[in-house]
Amino acid sequence: MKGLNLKKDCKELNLGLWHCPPFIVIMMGVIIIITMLATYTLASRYVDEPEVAALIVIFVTILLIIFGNIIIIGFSKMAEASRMQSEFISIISHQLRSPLSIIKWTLNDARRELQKENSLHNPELLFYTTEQALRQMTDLINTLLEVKRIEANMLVIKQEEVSLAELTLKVVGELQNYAKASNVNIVLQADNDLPIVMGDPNRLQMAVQNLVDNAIRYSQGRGEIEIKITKEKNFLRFVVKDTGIGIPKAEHRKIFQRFFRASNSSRFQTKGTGLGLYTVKVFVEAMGGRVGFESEEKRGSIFWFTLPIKK
Amino acid sequence: MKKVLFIEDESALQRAVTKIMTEEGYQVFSALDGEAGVEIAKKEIPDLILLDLILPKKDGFAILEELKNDSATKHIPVIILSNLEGNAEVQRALELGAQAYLVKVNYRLEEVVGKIKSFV
Repeated sequence: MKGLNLKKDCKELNLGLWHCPPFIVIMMGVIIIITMLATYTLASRYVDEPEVAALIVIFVTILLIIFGNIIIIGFSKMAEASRMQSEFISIISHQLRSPLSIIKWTLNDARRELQKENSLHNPELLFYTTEQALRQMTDLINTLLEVKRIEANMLVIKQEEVSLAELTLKVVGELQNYAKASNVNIVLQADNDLPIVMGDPNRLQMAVQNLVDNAIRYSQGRGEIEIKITKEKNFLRFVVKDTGIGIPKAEHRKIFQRFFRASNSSRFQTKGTGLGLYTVKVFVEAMGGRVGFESEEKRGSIFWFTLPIKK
Repeated sequence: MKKVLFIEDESALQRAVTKIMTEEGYQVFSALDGEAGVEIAKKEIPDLILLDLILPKKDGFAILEELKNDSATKHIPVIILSNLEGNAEVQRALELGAQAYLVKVNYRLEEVVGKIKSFV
């Protein structure tokens, strides 16, 4: 009976028997018992005092348990990595297929309209829809490549002079259509004569874009987003405040983890990979800044980061 | 006029399907989330339901289960239109009583209409 379950468990993990942690645990147990018996037989034959023989058996058993655990932990990590990899592939392929279906059906529809009437009723909507879908795919692929660099320790962060206010203005401009379509108003407040910060312009833009995009996405189709940039001592503080769905308290500590999505976010917004905030944190910290947030479910969230001012 | 209900949270897909189905002579009802979908299904009793799986408020599996357990709606054929393609999802949807499972990205609008016509 147990054997049958074991086979099923290993099949679910998509692993062969000899790579499957539950099976290896049982095999390690069998090996430990056999070794204990063998050590006892040898020790009782060659060692006169029974106490010494018993000590040898205990010592060998402890060693085996320690090595056995190290091996099992290694295999469990491999099994977990393999499970995450297959989950990752299905999440990503689904996230790419969604905008692809939008482009495909929108173009199907436009072609039919052109064939029938020789013109398009609403070309602006056609461009907006396909451009949004393309942006979604480009962002996803860029994020994936960044995650790959982070995981491989190959992230090279530039240290250049950046105007955080100008960069934010540009990002807000690009997201304006999306905000309008989501019935959300964005208010940007930046102190006059803000100093230049040091950072990687592209990564900083991705971070700002992620935070503002999240604020729009989780605003439930109404509300106002306040973005503030202020100078504090030797750093700039960037704050984005929304009145959206917020994050449940129990999930606060997981929010920057890779692939994590808050339970209420997936219920409300079906798009998302759980990679956005993870990359924001890695980027900002690599530029010498800090990231944090405050959030209350159903009330909204305030995300912030700091960056050092150019000396 | 035959009634078709499309439960899908992506408004661009809603627009495209509603337009082509209306041209084909169907009356189309749209729902952008799961709860609204169930409500419209129970109120309008459509002749066919097109159902996405990942939906806000209530997912496609829960909707399917609810509709197939209700004597007023269990006879309505349901076509799943999803971009998920795992064996587990396809099998679960068919076991819960879906009549067909189409992967959106693999079908042109005209092919989707063809499939709908084979039911109503």
